[in-house]
Amino acid sequence: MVSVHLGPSWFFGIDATLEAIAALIAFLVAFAAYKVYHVSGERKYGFFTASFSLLTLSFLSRAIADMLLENLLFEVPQALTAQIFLYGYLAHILLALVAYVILIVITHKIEDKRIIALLILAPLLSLLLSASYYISFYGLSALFLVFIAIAYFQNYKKVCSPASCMVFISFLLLALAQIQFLLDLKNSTFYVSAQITQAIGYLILFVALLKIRFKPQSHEKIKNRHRV
Amino acid sequence: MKRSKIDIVYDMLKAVEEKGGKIIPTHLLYKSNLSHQRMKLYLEELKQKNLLVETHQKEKTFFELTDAGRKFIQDYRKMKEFTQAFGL
Repeated sequence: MVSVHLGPSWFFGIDATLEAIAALIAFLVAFAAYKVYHVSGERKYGFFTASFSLLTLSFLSRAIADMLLENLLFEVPQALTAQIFLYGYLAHILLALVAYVILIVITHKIEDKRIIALLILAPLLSLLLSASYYISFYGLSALFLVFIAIAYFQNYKKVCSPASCMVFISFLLLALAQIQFLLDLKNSTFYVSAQITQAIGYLILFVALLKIRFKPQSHEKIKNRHRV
Repeated sequence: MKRSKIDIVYDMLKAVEEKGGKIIPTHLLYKSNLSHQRMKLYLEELKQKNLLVETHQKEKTFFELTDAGRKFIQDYRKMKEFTQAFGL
């Protein structure tokens, strides 16, 4: 049996909006990565593009599901709410998990196909076998995002640029948001703080993109970055 | 530090730009710091992507920078900072 789980009623619409904004920002990152892939043709940029494209679709499906469940678009028949929650959130979960796995592979430079297969299959299996895919998803996401944040912290230490610092902070906040989503089951206030933390994480990513777009570092600074 | 593909493409296009937008293959070979074989491969790709065009004048071969190539040079800093920020 599927039980629909939503945040507090006063937050209806705000959560869907924040998720839609996250989808838009993820799309902008994917688009920027695609431009690099188009020029270089290197696979890692293609996979990075794919990862953020999946995140775009993931948040889009969640935003649409929330809008339908919260009756923001039109009145949804009660009989359909469980199905909308199931398929909307399932799409959100599967797309996001695959996106995070791709990011783990890229940020940790994993090349062994067996490890990659393990990273994909283990979470899927744990989702299928768990009593609550909602809890499993946020637990797995938190774990993946912590590892991604660690990788971005090491990248920031190596590169020392404002943009890399913002990317690290962004993913740290995204990891924190997943932990708050887990606590949401005990106290619905955490749903609100989780959504806000997640939104701030994506906003910082957006600011990093703006900084790169409008105030890129000089060529000399970029070249000398590794010469310490 | 090992140059990435984008760095090599930038170095090649920048070399052409510094020569007034037109360069002979020998000068490009020296400026790009590549082996002859690798330079040929890169040139093929740059021509396919319309970043450079091959022209012939008085039995001499030149490589000319296209508008797309100029745009790449302008966008290089942004692309480079993007890839560095995301650890790519």
